[in-house]
Amino acid sequence: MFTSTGSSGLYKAPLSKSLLLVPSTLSLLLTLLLPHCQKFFVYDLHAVKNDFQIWRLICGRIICLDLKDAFCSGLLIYNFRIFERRFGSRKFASFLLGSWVLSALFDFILVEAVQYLLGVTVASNLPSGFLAPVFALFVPFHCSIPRVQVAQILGPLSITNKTLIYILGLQLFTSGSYIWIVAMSGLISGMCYDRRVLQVHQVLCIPSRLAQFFSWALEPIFSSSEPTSEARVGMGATVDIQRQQRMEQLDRQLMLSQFAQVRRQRQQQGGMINWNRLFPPLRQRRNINYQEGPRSEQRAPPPLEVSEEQVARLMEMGFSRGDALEALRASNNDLNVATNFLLQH
Amino acid sequence: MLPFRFTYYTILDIFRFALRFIRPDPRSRVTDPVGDIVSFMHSFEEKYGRAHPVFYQGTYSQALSDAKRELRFLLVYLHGDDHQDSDEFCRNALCAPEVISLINSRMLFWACSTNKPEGYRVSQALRENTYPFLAMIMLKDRRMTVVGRLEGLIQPDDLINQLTFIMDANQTYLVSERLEREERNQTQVLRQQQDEAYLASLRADQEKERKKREERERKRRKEEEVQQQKLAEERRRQNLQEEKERKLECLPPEPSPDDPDSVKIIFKLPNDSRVERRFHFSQSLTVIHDFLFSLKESPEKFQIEANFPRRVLPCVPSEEWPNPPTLQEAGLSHTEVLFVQDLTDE
Repeated sequence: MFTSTGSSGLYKAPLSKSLLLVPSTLSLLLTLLLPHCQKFFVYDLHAVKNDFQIWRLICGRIICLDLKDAFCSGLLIYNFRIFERRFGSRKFASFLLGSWVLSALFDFILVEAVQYLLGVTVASNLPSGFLAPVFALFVPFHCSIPRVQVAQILGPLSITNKTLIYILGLQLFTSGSYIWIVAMSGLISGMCYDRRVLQVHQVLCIPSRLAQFFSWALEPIFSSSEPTSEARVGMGATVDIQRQQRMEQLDRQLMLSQFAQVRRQRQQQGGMINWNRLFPPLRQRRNINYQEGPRSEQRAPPPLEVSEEQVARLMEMGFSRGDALEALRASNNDLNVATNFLLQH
Repeated sequence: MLPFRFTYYTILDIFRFALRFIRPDPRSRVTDPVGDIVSFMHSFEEKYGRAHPVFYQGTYSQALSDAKRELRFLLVYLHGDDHQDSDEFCRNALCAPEVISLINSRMLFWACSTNKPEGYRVSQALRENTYPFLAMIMLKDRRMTVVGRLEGLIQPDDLINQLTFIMDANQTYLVSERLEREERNQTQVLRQQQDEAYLASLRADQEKERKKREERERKRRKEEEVQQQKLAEERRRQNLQEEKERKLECLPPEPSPDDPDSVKIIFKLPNDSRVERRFHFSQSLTVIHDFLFSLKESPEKFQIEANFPRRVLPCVPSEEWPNPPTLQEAGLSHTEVLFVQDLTDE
């Protein structure tokens, strides 16, 4: 359900590979083997401002000291490798550099604003690591990637190819007390760079010569070989599209089946239509309470009615009765979808 | 109920407010593939000029269908708007005159941006790793197959060389498919001709059968007609016989020879036979007619003539004599000779 563009792995994404490997390795080293060196990588704006330790702006914003944050940011960087493929390595590096520098500025502004408004000193408690550029990448993720609906929950909600990434970002957003400051600065810097505010993208960019030098020097180390397991040439031109359409059709059938089941349960209950529609968890709890009531003989919900004719037809094809019943129930009594369901499983 | 209503409406308002962020305007989710392609074409021309290969104006599925039907190569170009090399590729390679002439003359060209839903769908299908991306698709083993992929920045000469290489390497499949299609068409034409000949002979046989059936029908109808006539004749004769018997039963009894009011009549029939009978003077001429009609030797239609003077006796009702007269009124004496004339043949 990830936004899978291109092949899996890190082919043609050397910068993403380096961002994945180097900080993760250093995080593991600092956490497990060298705990006494962690104090050099703490992101402490108070020390930067008072003691002029400018080097903390660099060291404190590269390596995550929290393994949970390192894991989440690693997953997000792996998914955002599609932007290195979409932008190119030099443009991608420029985006990361620009958002990294801008977010440092916005960190200062936000810390001062919070201290002025709320009287809370958060300068010494900011999370360390390469988090701001990761959040900044959500801006092109939101703008450039079109939404492709993958599944649909009952009602207006729908799951798209971007839902899981947003959930992962939300997980990272809520992992610490003050990570929201870094997240906000990352998002703001991403917007400024993406919208070309004040010509930032021309100032904070990597020159072509430097990009060529790094490409010549580091690409042999971090470049991935082309995956040979996936058939690049010779694949069908519409195989993926057909598979996706088939999945969409199956999801629609499942939704219709669940909808019919919910409607049947609602007829038994009677009222409370709005509550059942708006709050599914309450419906589940209410069902449990209802089942524990006087009518204990109706403990099991009545199964979806399947026509015996179609069951017989599926059994003539050679499937067992249990499988036929399950497939017809899942496909909302559609013989073709049920046949495909049984043949695929 | 007031606290419940307050709680319900508060939660409903919060839910609607949250829903406004989660679910945008539904109209924006309506996908328009052709609109995506047309808008990409316009933006491409605005940015890079009008010197470019001819874009296929249709969806990806339509392009595949046309390439399959026309047995041509389909070159798919996925444009990455944000890539660092897209501008250079579009200006130098894609708009070079040699590249334009090669693409326009030998293949279909379909292009779209991956920022649009249609392009993104095709991107998910072709699974490119970097931009600019070109994929060569053709009909191979009865399936539209990707036979070449060009990823990354490429110069015009290299582009021409690689495209030519891909086309030369896969030309045999197109040629064999075209030959197979021609053979299939010839087979179809031959079968169609055979079907037409068979239908023509079938029609001739049906016509012959129809004529034979009509002849048989006509013969059967004629025989039936003859049979009907025989039956009618038989029925008429039977009716006549019944009529004669009925009139014989209705005749009054014959008076005795010594009765002074009786008259003796001798009838001469057409077959030269003689019949004698006595009748009463007061009886009507109808009785004479009935007596003659009941005889077996008498014809069906006849009239009775008397001599001296010669006259025809009115034995049946007519306009002149609504009621036939009696024997006395007719002027018959004690002994009379009457002649029966046969009118059947007339």
